[in-house]
Amino acid sequence: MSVVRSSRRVSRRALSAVLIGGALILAGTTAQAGWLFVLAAGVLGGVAGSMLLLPRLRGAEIVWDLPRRARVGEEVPVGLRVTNRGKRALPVMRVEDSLGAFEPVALCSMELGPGATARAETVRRAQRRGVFESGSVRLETSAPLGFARRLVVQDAPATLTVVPTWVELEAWSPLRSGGIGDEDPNARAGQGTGDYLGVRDYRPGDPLRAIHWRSAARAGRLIVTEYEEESCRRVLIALGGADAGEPPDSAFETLVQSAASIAKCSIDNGNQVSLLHSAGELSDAHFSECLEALAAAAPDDRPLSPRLGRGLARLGRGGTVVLLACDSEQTRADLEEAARMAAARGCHTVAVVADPGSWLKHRGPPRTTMSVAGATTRTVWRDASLRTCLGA
Amino acid sequence: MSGGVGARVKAVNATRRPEDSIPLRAAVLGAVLAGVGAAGAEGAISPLRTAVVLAVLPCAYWFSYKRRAADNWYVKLALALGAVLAIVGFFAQLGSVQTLDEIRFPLAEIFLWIQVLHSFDLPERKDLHFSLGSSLALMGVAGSLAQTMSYAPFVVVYFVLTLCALHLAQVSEATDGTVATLRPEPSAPRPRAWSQLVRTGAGIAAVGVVLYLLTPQSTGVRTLALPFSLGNGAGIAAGESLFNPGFESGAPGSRSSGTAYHGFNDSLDLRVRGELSDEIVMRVRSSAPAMLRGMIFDRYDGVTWSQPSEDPVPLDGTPPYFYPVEQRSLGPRAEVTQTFYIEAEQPNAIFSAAYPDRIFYEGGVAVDALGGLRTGGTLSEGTVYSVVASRGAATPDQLRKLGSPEAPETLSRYLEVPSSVPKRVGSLARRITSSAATTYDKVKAIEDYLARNYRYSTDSPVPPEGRDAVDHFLFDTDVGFCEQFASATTILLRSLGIPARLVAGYTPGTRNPFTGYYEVRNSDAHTWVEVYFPSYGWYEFDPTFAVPPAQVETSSSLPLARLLEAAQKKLGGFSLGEPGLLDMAALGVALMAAWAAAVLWRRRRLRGVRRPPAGEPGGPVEAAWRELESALRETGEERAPPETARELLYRLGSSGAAADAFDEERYGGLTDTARAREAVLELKRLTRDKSTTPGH
Repeated sequence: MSVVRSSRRVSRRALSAVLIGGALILAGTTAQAGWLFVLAAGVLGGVAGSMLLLPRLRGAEIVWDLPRRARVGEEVPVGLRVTNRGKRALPVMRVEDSLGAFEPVALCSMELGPGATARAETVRRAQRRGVFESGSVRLETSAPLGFARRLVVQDAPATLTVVPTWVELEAWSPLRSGGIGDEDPNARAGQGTGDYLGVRDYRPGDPLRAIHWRSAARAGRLIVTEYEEESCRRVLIALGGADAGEPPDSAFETLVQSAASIAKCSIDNGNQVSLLHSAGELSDAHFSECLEALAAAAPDDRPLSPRLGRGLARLGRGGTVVLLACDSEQTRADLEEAARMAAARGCHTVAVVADPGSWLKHRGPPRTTMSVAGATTRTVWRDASLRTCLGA
Repeated sequence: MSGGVGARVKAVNATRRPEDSIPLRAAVLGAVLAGVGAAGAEGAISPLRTAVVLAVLPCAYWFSYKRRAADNWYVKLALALGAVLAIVGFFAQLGSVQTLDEIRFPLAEIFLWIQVLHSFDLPERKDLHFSLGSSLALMGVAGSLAQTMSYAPFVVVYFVLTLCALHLAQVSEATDGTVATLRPEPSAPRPRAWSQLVRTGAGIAAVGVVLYLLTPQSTGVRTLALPFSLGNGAGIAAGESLFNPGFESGAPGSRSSGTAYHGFNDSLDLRVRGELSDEIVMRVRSSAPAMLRGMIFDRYDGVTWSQPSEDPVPLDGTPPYFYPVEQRSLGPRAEVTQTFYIEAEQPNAIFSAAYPDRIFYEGGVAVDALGGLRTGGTLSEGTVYSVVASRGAATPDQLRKLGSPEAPETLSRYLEVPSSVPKRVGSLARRITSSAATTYDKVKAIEDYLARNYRYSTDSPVPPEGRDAVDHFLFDTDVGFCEQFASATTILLRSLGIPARLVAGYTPGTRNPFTGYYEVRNSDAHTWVEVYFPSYGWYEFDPTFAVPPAQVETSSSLPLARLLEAAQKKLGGFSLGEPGLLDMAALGVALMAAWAAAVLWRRRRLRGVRRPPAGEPGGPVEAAWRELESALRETGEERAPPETARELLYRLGSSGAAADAFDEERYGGLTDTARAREAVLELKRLTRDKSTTPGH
């Protein structure tokens, strides 16, 4: 924990008191009344003394008590602990914490003796998605008399991942139209029609039908079989592009929410999901891993198509590529190139495009039709139902 | 439209955040009551009004507390009407004010009304702050009237309560807009709030004392209007002669009768002995300390000094009375403005610095043949009068330059030496002044001679019957008090042909540093000498205490300088000299104290920054780093060989600031002590965590 900034400023009340002190001196000089000088010295002494005695707040150590993870919009119990590591008592002070995930709030800390700890818990709504590893805390006091204020801004460690929300899509038609989800009545999970690829350990999310019980009994742990057709039930979700609007109400946040919703639907339907975003790649991820990765995603001006190579290779033939980006001329071209690349590998492409105009210029549906050549296009815009936009 | 305006006015006056703190309200009420009490005690408001207000205020505060959350529309309307009435009353009272000085009383009245009316509507903290401010105004009015130390308890109580109120207000302010309170754990050590407050109060008091000592209490701006009144009424009618109420018909044998000095009469008998009481007879507000001349004696008959028998001449006009021009001081002059508050009945004479120019006295004033001022009756207790005087301001060098001029014939009465004075007195005078070239030097030589060879005592032997008192003092007893010293000086000077006369009055008294008044006691009654210098006039000399003449300002305006001056006088033996030097000495002391305080402060700040032992390289950050490494070795987490200090600190969860400071100190020299201290504290914390975490 480090002190980022410490400052001191004089309050208006102090300036008024100094003026009053000066007036008393003037009156004392005019009236030749010694007691007025005593009163003036008392007033000015109060101002000067309270500035000299202004506490430094150096010994205050701030720690957050937070859950490791929360979802956007979720109400989270946030605890704050102040420990006095100094040798002097900490005075009454205002503690304003601003961890980026929540709206800043102000708390009041009563006097704390040396070595003492005070705690308070508030319930706050997680408003911003992201991975938060520290936040700043403002400590402010005007002890002892309110004539001057000491402000100390500290960085305090915190570990909180706020994952995006999602909507339940249940069955998303663009996922099925690429051949994925076109059920081969004989192709049950775990049996399939393709080449036998082997067995592997069970991973959460694997369909129970894929469990090879005999191998599992021998091994003492769950084992699933893998067939080639399962490689076709892969979905690559690629998120990129710039942002429009002010987070948390912005085009990119809506795309992140869309990506989370699509990932959830894909995984629930037995697909293996890989994720490509600004901070990296994730392959064969479970939903919670997708959420954690999406929590760290940030707008990225880099084109998506050059980064798709590895993901497409892992996808294999027959997979589905879901591209999410904010619409623009450059983005359109990039998405079309990505769609061509996917098509060359026998994969189906779905493009989810956000209309930046609805965040920047107008509200409501896009004024022009947005479509990406070679891809099934879905458009999202501000204030619209995501289920409606995605066509669930 | 009216609804709109009314609604807007309502919105502006609505209570936004009522103040719920009872202790805060109680502290403010206490401070206000102290202000009202002080104003009543000092006579700014009548006792009945004081009692009524003291009874009403707690009720008003209770009412405003109960109604703090309500809009109180009707209350505000009623209070506004009350305020209008108060202002009308104030201007009506102004019509009866005769001097600007009396404006304080209507001012106290209106401050009181504002305080009382406002007390019924104190919903928010800012209203309580306003009450504190207006109570300070009441304290100020009372302070301007206070003449004694009886005001001191009110000041102490007021400041204690105000400090409490300000402290409680900032505590309340800290909770504004907060959603929760961080409360200490039950097992946590509780800070002792009262001891903290006492420490804070003591610190603030110390700063206040320092500021008081360094605040110049200049008298540069004269009061616009000087007060004068007969107070408790005219005294005993005295007729044409001096009447001392303590000594009816000049009763002999006692030097003092209560608050009366026997010398305040038409004659002064040098055979009278006795002690003078320490009762305060008057308080004087003066722009400079000055001897207060009352009576002037010119005729000496061997045992008694007396005044001419001519009747005093009344001064024409109305107050202020103007002193006769022909009797005013000549040459360079310095103005002294004085206001006298009579505490014990005094003779029918105006005591003031010599020479008075304008006399503000309610009643007739007359001038006797020698320039002394007389009133029609004695000065009763409660009488107030003011005098603007001009004292001679010629320097000793200027007086020396006159040489030894001959005395003008008009002053022959001041050269008379009676035949009862033996010739040896004149011989002594010539012998003492044989090496003195000028009149001034002769006066000083006589003063020095008496100071070196004669002892002060109020129990000096009485001259036997038929013996000259001056000769008895100079040649027989060698001991006396002010009457003997002054008489001897006067006669010695007259025997040299230098015009001199005896003056009776009071010394300046003791200045009370808090009230600013000079407290003149009966024991301050004194006699001294006035010597005539052509072109300059009469100049005072005090052979008893060697008070230098032509002294305009003997004290600095800085209380600290006066403190040094008082210490100097107590210790005796050394002299700081002119007031300007005193000021410089005071500032020097203040600067040294400030420098010492700064050094101690800096050392205290760096106390946590331990220097490495002698011989060990590095600075405080490296010393703390070595302690951390030692702690890590004990827990088995020591730094791996390829691991840098920065990497280790990151591994331990520290921020980059400590690592930056460590690198800078090791490789570049860290000069920022604040950063060094921060880094040391961070490293110590890590060390502590490692030391207290078992088996981490």
